[in-house]
Amino acid sequence: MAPNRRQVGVNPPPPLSTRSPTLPSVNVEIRFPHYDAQSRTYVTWRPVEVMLKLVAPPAGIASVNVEVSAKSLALGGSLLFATTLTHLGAASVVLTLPASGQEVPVWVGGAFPAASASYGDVAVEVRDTGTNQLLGTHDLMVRIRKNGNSLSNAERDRFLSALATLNGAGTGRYSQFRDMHVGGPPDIEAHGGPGFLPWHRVYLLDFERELQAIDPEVTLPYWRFDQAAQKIFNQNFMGVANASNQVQFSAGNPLTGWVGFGLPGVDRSAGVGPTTVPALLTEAQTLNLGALPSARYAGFRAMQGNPHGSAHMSHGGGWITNPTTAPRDPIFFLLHCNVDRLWAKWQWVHQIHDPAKPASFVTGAFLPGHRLPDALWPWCGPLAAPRPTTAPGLGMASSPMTTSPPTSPAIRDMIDYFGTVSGTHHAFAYDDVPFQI
Amino acid sequence: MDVEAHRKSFLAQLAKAPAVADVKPKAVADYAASSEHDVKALCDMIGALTLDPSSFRASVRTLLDIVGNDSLETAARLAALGQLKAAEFQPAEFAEFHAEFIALLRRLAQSPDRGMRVAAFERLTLTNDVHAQKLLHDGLEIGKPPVSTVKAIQFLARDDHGSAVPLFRRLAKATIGPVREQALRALAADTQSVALFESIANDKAEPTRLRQIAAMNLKNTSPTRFAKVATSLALDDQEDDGLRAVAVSAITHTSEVAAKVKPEFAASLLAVGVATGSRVLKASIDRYAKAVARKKS
Amino acid sequence: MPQRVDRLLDQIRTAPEGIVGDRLLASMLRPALQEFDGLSSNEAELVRGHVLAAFEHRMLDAEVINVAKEELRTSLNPTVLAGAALALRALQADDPECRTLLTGASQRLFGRDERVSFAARVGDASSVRTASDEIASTLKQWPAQLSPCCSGPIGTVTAAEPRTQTLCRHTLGRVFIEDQAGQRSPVADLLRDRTSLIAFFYTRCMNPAKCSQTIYDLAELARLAFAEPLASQLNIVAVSYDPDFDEPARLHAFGYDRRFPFAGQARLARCVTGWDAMRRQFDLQVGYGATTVNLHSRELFMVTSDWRSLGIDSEQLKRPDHLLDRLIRASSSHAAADEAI
Repeated sequence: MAPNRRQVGVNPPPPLSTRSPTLPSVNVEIRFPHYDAQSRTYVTWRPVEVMLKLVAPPAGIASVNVEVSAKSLALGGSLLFATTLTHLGAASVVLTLPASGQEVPVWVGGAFPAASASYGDVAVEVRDTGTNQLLGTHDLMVRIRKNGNSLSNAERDRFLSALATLNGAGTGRYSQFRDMHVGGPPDIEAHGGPGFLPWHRVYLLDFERELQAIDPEVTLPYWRFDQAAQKIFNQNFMGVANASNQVQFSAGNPLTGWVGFGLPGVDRSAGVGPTTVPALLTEAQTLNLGALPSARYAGFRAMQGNPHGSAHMSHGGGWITNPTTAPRDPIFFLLHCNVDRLWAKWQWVHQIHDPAKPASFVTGAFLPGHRLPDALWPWCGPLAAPRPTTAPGLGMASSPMTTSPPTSPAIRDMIDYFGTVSGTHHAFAYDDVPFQI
Repeated sequence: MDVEAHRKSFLAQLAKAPAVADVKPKAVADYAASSEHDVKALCDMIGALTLDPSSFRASVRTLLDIVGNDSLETAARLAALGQLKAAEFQPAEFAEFHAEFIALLRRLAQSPDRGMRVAAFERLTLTNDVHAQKLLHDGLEIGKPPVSTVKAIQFLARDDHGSAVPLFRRLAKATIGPVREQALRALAADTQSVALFESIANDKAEPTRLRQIAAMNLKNTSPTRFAKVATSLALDDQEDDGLRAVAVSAITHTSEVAAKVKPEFAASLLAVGVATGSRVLKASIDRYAKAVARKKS
Repeated sequence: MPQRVDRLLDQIRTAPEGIVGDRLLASMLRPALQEFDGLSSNEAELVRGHVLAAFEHRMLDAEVINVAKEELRTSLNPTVLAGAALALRALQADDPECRTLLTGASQRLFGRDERVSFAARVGDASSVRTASDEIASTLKQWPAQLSPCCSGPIGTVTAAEPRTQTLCRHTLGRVFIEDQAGQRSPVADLLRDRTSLIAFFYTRCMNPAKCSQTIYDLAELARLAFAEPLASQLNIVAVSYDPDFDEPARLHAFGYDRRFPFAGQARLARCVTGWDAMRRQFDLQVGYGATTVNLHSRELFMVTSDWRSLGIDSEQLKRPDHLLDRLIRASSSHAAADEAI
């Protein structure tokens, strides 16, 4: 029996919401579908079904009309509410809660583009419509992947700290992600066909969940490689390379102890600096790939060459410029987060989330691991030669916020990450890609 | 926000985006062959060559020919080489060209053109090519490496199963400046150099940068000895604050080291955090404190 | 080191004709050969490839054929694979296993093929034949129809003799190991009064088909052993070839990522004292470069309670239930398994 993947807080009892101060016998319990081990819950733009119920109402009351809305701190996240799964939520919704204590659902999601900066900067509030009395409140976080160049210092530092912990100076769980992305048969699994984008989507999600097991408020930032990124390429974040291909970090940067492979430090040339705009397809040009006469994945996947390959090469030299060595450099994860964001944005712009639709993927005589129903290595375990006969890692990391994708995802499982048709979502989203059914 | 309106607006913007230049491999090959080509224009054409499945083979063939053409300008050849390295990120399509590509790089490693030599070694040593390593190692041994000494060390050090460590040891002891620094970096996994690392890390007369490299090397090779050095550095008010911050950061993020520090260290360090005026040291200590608190919970 | 590589290649090229040269070259296939000390992994593999290639026009014995087959089974190095293909070209009759291994090696070269040359100096760029070309040429020389068994220039090829030896408990009493949890004990205590399966590996091994696969497979066997009451007294241990580097945290991380079920009887370990003695006791086929291993075989041993050690073909790990049966039987009878496994 394989050791279990780390399960972080599988739905412990949720916290009771705050008791009303003036009507102590009436309050509303707010129950989100999932909680982590610290009894916290996180949402993205994709709404989740939240249950409300009256707790211990006074006698004689048949029901209570309530308004459900959000309270946000400055620069915090914001929420939308609806009675069904929709992108057309509103800032508030009115519901009737029966005195019987029967649960009433309400759909709650982040209000695009207002993402949280930290946990608890937004809360659900439930108020009596008649008296405006606060009957219940529930903190949460609208947890979204952001542009690395726009992170606050606090967000950046949390990410770096989690990343350095995962690296563990070379002995942390990071090493399995490095070993998944090496030359030979594994390279073909990741890059050898149209499964390139779904494979990396799983890879990043698995990686992000490992980071969130260290610090649940962290998400993977992306490097928007068609723009200058002054805040990414400086010594406080991803570092600045010197003439000897040594990336320099500030003294307090957790990445000073990074061990990508064997030797400490990061081997990268000075191809991309704080003001560099790499020569590759712009976001608009990328999203137009495969768009005419109608958007199809078959055309879009050409982005594997440009901008993806070009982004790797924009650094000029070092680990990031070869598929075998690229994940040794932490910028790799931000680069690929942007690749995935571009795919997500392409999906949104052209409304292509359904794996049953031909436009969402491509059919043909592709290598195993690159066809729609194929399970993705290494999460599927070892395979028979000539495919990889070992499988670093322990299967897809679980998330306390969702049961999707499965432990051994197939390509088709990675297309509808928002759950627009499947009903289950992957609990990640990008700051500039909204949820839309 | 009206998401559908936002989407439509965004689609309208996409429709206005400049089209991707449609540069055909034959056009690039013909222009490169023309005696009147402009180097910059040629580089731009090379950069615009697409690597999508329909034109991949023709594009790669053109790029290989450009890189291998010793009479062409270095800038154009380097631009083509960059594109070929990008093409490697499509290994299934590139497979038929791989052997030819490596052979070409091995030839270019002995090119009279310095720029091509460096670029060839840069690529070949990423995958520990033994032929490239031999040229670098032989050159260093006789004091005439095919690239700068610092670069040669850096390239050879990429292979943690390499044979150049005795050479690095000699250079780390016998040289100064950038060569010494690079040689020290190259020794990062050398367990026989632990004493050297400890000595440099503890020596206040050594440049801070070298001490930091030595400390990180010590962490890599002997977490136990590093724990002793790092804790001493972190608590020493006479030490460089940047170095102290690095030491604290290393302890925070390396569980093997954290497990070896004495129990009383945490309290002493937190006291330093309160007293210090150094922002970077304080931030490092704060991160340490958070990590300790997380571990306890 | 590179100049020493040139000298070794010269030695190969000028090896005398006949049995003297054959034996000299065969001896160069031992990873623990002193001449390889200090070479990088790639240098050692380059030399190894040249040695194998030299057998294209020489007499093959069982040991050389087995080395060639093992390389075709696991190597990722184009020079080594081409050399192995050339060595087996000397076989006059088809060998189904060789054919399968050559095909597998060719598939493994996809995306990483290189031009190889055995006639000239290192760095010669004039060759146009790739490792895949050499493999294809070897395959082509045999008829499409498979014929039974195989025979080389010297007659019927037999399997290599398993390595057996009696270990010295006193020597091993002075060899201490430390496992992934930091627990230390003398090797003699580990082996005393029980049957053990001992594999060797190291965490920096660059070939996933070797050490990573070994630990993966050993983990599977260990899980089967835990479920089998008769196996409760078995030891399942993997010892690092790289004791200076493979500290407990690294051992643990390596095993954890490969689902190794750490428990009292299943461990990854390194020697903290007496590693050289351990190497000699097991006659380990491992060589060292400047900092770490440069070449090694896949090595697996069954050690019984009477201190007898029997070398086991690592391919047996692919049939863990079968191997576990053998271990249980050996444990039950308190005698070394003396038939080849």
